[in-house]
Amino acid sequence: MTEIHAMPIAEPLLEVRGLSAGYGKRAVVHDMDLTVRAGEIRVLLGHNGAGKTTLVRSVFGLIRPSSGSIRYRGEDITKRRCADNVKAGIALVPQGHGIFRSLTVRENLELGAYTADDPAATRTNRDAVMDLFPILRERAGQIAGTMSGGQQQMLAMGMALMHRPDVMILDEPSIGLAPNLVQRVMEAIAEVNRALRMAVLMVEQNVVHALPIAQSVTVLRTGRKIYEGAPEPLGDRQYLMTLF
Amino acid sequence: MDLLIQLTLNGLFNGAHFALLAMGFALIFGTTGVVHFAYGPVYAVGAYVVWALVALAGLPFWVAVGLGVAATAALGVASYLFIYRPFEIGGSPPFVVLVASLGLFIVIKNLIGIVFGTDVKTVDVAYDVHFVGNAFFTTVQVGQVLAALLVGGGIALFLRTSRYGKAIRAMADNREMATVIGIDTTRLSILVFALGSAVSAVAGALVLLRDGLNPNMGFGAVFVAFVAVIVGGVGSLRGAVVAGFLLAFVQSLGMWQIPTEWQNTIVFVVLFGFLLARPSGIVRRA
Amino acid sequence: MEYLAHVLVMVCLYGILATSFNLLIGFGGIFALAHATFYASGAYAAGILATKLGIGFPFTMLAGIVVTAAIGLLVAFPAMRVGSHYLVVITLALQAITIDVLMNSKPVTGGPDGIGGIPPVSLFGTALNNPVAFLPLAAVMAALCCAVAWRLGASPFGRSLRAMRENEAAALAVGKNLVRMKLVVFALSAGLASVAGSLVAHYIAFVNPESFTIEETILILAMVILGGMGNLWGSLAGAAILVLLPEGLKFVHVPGDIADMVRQVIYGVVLIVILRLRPEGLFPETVFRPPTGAVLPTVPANGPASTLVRAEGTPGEVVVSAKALAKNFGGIKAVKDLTIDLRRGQIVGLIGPNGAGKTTAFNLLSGFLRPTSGTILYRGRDLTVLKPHEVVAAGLARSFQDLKLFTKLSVAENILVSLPKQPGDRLFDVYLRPGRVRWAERENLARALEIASFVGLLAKADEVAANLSYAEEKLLVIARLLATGADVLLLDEPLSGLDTGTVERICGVLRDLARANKAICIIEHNLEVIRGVCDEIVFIDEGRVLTKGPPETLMRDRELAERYFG
Repeated sequence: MTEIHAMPIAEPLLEVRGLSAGYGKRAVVHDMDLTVRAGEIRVLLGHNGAGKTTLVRSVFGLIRPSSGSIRYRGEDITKRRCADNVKAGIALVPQGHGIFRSLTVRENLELGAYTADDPAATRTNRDAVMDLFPILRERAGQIAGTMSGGQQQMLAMGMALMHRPDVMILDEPSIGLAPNLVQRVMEAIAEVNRALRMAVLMVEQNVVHALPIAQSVTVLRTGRKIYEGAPEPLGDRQYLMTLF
Repeated sequence: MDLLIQLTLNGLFNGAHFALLAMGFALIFGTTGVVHFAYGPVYAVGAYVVWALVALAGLPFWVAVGLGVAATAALGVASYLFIYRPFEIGGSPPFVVLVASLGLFIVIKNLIGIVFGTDVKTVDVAYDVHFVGNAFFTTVQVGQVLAALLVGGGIALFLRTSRYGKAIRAMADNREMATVIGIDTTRLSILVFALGSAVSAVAGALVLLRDGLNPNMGFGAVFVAFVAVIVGGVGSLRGAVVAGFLLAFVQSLGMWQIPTEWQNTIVFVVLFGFLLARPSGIVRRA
Repeated sequence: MEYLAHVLVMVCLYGILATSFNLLIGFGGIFALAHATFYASGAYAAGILATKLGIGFPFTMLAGIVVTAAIGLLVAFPAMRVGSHYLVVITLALQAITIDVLMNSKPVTGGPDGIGGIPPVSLFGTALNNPVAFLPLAAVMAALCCAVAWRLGASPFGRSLRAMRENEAAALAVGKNLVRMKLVVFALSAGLASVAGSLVAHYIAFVNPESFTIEETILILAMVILGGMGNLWGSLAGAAILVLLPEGLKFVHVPGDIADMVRQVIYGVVLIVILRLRPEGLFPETVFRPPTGAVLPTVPANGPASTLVRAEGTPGEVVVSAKALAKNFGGIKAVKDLTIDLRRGQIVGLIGPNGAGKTTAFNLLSGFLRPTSGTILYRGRDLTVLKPHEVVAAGLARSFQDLKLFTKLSVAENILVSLPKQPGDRLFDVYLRPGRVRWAERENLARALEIASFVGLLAKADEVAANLSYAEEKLLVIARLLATGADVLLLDEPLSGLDTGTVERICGVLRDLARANKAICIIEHNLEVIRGVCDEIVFIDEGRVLTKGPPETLMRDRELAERYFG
């Protein structure tokens, strides 16, 4: 497991093939392929309603896809329940309220490790998470809902990290945050990825802040992939405008 | 003055009863979102089981209470598993579940009448009467307050410290997020139905001693519980308890001026006032 | 014979109760569970008037209707403040208060003993004092009440009720006055229920609180659900089944009070079983399909922008002018300073990053939110404080991002219900000027089909909206918007989630509309589409207009691009 993140092409961790999903009769994602490799940050861009959230929610098992397959470490997880995915090492930080607002920060973190059975390891993890986000140690006894938006986002990530996932899926972590906070959240994501060598699949609309930390990018438009590759070409906003 | 003391005492003791009922209902409704109207008749079943074990089988009261609590918990779980859960799985809209609970309500209520008859059931358990000036209270009423304190404290401790307790609070707070972190919401629903129903059985056993039982007792109970939960703010156990006492005091002090038979009406008027003026309850959620 | 007549009388009475309840919950979608209160009000009105004041039958009934309709209006008010669970709880509580009032107002209601000795109905000199004699009256009254209910259900007003049930916000957005509709349906439903009450009082000659408990409401509810919500014949069937079903108990020898409880158990079980196995009821909702076939030949097969959708006035004229709109939610300023003009024949694109306040802007313009400050003028008329349905009537209509179709209505009905100023929406015309209603309905149907043809949905006119494809749903949203007759159209993401072919098709429709002199404003994220269809772009960020101009110029602006993606 050494230096995986430094290798040019790492092994695929999550492989989505031919996935279609939606709500009722409305298909939102069509025949999608997506690969997340160990240790990389892959950013999923696209306009509102492009199908980004639907895609990651079906990967995590919150939505049952209508067709296609999802493999994790080579194993088919298409029909697995969320709880099993959590145990297998996948974490989701949902959009908006990814926390329990009426519980304390400490309780939230503990619940992040709900599926873990080793209390000692959980404590170690909690310390590690608090080292990563010192604000969470400071605010450990505070009711989570009373923290600022940025701190809540840190907590949401902290919860996801509590069971030491191999891949963390983030759904628009920047939503509703002021620009300087978005910057901080992105730095934190990059830091987590570096320090824990953890793969990240991040849905974002905030191109300006998401691109700098991206190692690879997929752009969706109306449920289909229209770009896949390195982040650099997207630095040209004119090019982006034509893509969106 | 004596009347005022008596009414205050009544408010306190009745408040303990209401608080117990409200706690059980709040656990179920706050966590699962099911408007469990049959909570009333299920509570009545608990009380009738205790009565049967004492009056018919001759068991000691405390043993009967234990068995009654267990039976009630089982009935609560059964109503979840066999009535509500199939609707949940089928994705029925909430009102369908609510109407089903009304159906279950009349089924259980009338089964009680068929099995036990419609006359008032009492047990012969001796208890003392205590005086404060000319006002009085009984050992049973003290028992109601103690039960409310013990059960309330126990549940609070459970919710605050245990793994399942925290998971219940998490689920009540944000059900989707609970799924995301791997909580088995079905298992927790079973747990809260068991727990909530068990709490109601404790209230039922004490009412057996205080007033006796009739098959209609469930209706008033589930209503008081529901009103307390709404007034106290959905999702807040503490709010439900406070509102339970509040209702009892309003009811009791109202009797100073208003004849006894309007007691229920007072509760409903409080409900109307609250829902129309402040739909989010007295205890605001963070 | 007596026994059979008695059972049939009960079927008639419950038939009245179930059909009237169905109007409220099946058509209006209003879960006010206090029907036994309306029933009781009619019965006690008859009992009190007949025994204390010596008033005779038809007058006791008429007085009962008036009193009960008034009670219905009172219940309507909480029904407008709270929804779903709380409405059920409030109305059940009301039901309990009713019993308290009946029990405790002894001098008037006789308390628990009720009122006895109510004289029987006497018609043409004969007293109807036995079931056989009473049955004809019960049958005639049931037929009358059902006719009243049926007439309403099948009328344009019934259609509006079903639209309101499907989606209140959308019904508001196509110009329906929901407050008036709720008051009318409550009064009518309560009034009809009271007829059953008067009849039962004179028939049994006795009323007491026990007949009007919550169980009674649940029984009537079970009848409606068993028969099928939204199907009035179904309610009659449900009433018949649940009256007859427990009659079997008569043939096994159980004591009377036990038999009553067994009956209740049966009702409860039937209710749960039907909800599990067939929630739509034995007879699913009646679809009052408009006779599209008869009107079809007059409609052009694939209509161009005909005169019907063409708005008057000169192209380029400013129709809507919003100035300095601001909206605060608590401390949060969702919209700070929004100034926007919409012109005839032009398509304006509202763009900006997520959370910029675009949808809030639509809510302000369409009356769904009242601005904290600022003004909205429509051709010089101030719309700022109008309610949504008044804004639509003035000429400005909006659509929703999440479509909000009336899913159980047909395509034709979705469009029909959105047409303005229908005589059939007024109770007076429905009952007293049926010819006028029928005539208007034929005209409206032709218009609706023309609109369907314009957006290309004519072939699907009779299809239930729930069966449409997503693209067709989006087209229906536009058709519904057009039907309102508004000449300013606000479309919230009309193109999102569509494939290229459909996007082109809808863009074509939008251009046609602009050519027909409508003023159009769309919210859209697909920049390619914006470029293709808009005459002007208004860029909003953080609740204010940042800049506006032609798409080509704005798209080349580097700073805007940074903002859009940041």
